Amino acid sequence: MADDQGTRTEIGPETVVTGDVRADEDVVVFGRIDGTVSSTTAVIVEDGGRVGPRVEAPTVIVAGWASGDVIGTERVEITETGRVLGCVYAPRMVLLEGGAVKGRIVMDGSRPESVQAPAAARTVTARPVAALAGTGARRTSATATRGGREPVSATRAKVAAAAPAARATAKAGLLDLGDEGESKVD
Amino acid sequence: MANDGTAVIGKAITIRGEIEGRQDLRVEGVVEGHVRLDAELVIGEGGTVKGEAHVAVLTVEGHFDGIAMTDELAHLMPGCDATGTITSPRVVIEDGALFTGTLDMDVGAEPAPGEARHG
Amino acid sequence: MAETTIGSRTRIEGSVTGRDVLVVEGEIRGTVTMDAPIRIEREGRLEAEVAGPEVAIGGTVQGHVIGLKKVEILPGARMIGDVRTPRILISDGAVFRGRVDMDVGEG
Repeated sequence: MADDQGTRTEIGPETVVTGDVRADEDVVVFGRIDGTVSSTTAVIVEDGGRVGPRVEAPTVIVAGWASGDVIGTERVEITETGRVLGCVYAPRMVLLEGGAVKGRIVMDGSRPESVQAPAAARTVTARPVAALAGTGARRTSATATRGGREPVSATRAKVAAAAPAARATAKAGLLDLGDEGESKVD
Repeated sequence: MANDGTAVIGKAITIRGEIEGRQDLRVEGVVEGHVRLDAELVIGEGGTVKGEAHVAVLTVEGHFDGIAMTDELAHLMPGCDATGTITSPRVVIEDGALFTGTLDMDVGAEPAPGEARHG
Repeated sequence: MAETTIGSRTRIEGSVTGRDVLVVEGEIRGTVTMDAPIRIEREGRLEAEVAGPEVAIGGTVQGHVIGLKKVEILPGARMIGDVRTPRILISDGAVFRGRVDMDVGEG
């Protein structure tokens, strides 16, 4: 497959994954993951999304609900809609006004044993919650979460789009299956 | 809340014991003990507070080690170093702040499927 | 309708359920049960039991597939397992090894 810098995994708002999710790309959760989710780049829990009991990635952004261990090997950001019930491990952390944490915060470098050794991560170019104008992400995702805000992942994708990475078009590699698969979010 | 200006504990001053008051307090030196303020406690960049702080607003730019309970807000600023337990209805942790300990905030109940936080 | 996309660099072990349209470009080991169309793209690799109203297979599936309304096995697909569905399309260029049971009422 051609350069697929623009790919990611997106768990829709009405989808539940039970088990282990391991990714070498961003994982964006609008629905629910019951189990372990780890990525070599980022895990983003959108408003309405739920993950637990374990999340691990270089960058973890919680705009929804996370329980258990939240491990950001580079950083964790909890947004104004984010809720964490459990332990946050990260060398760098941001808790925005409105966000809430009940549990431990560990920034001294100690961590529970890693599920997946983090590969050299992509550079995080900017704080993803900053509002940016422009077109949306490569793959159409919810243009607004139920709360009416732009999803954190869409903002982050715009930031990534500004980087000089060749982006596979949305249709590259996909079979032409007619209209049934082309559903877009309202 | 009465506020007659900010009291300052200078950087060359160490206080061990209890501090109580209704005006803002800025600590640039060292305070070991209990601080009870119906106002804001600011721990300046070179300042240290060890012990317990029961205050309306806590702003940490320097060092805090202990138990903090606020009525309104705990704000950990870049460059600060905080350890211990913070109980507060609102907490802000800025990029560059260091905190190792327990945050005791109200996270509410685990949301029902499909429920978003803001409407 | 919203979509769930399992990216090509993602692997899931466990179950995927729900009502979003499911597009699989990565790996799933376990079960997939959706109340919405399922599309396995060319890079998709499943070792799973799959059930949904419509299942379109363009990649590799090892496991049984139930399509309550229809199943399509597309050019380039490798389908190893049984298929139960009232309507089936097997394209030229598809590889299929398994049984087809079409005695299922319309979903």
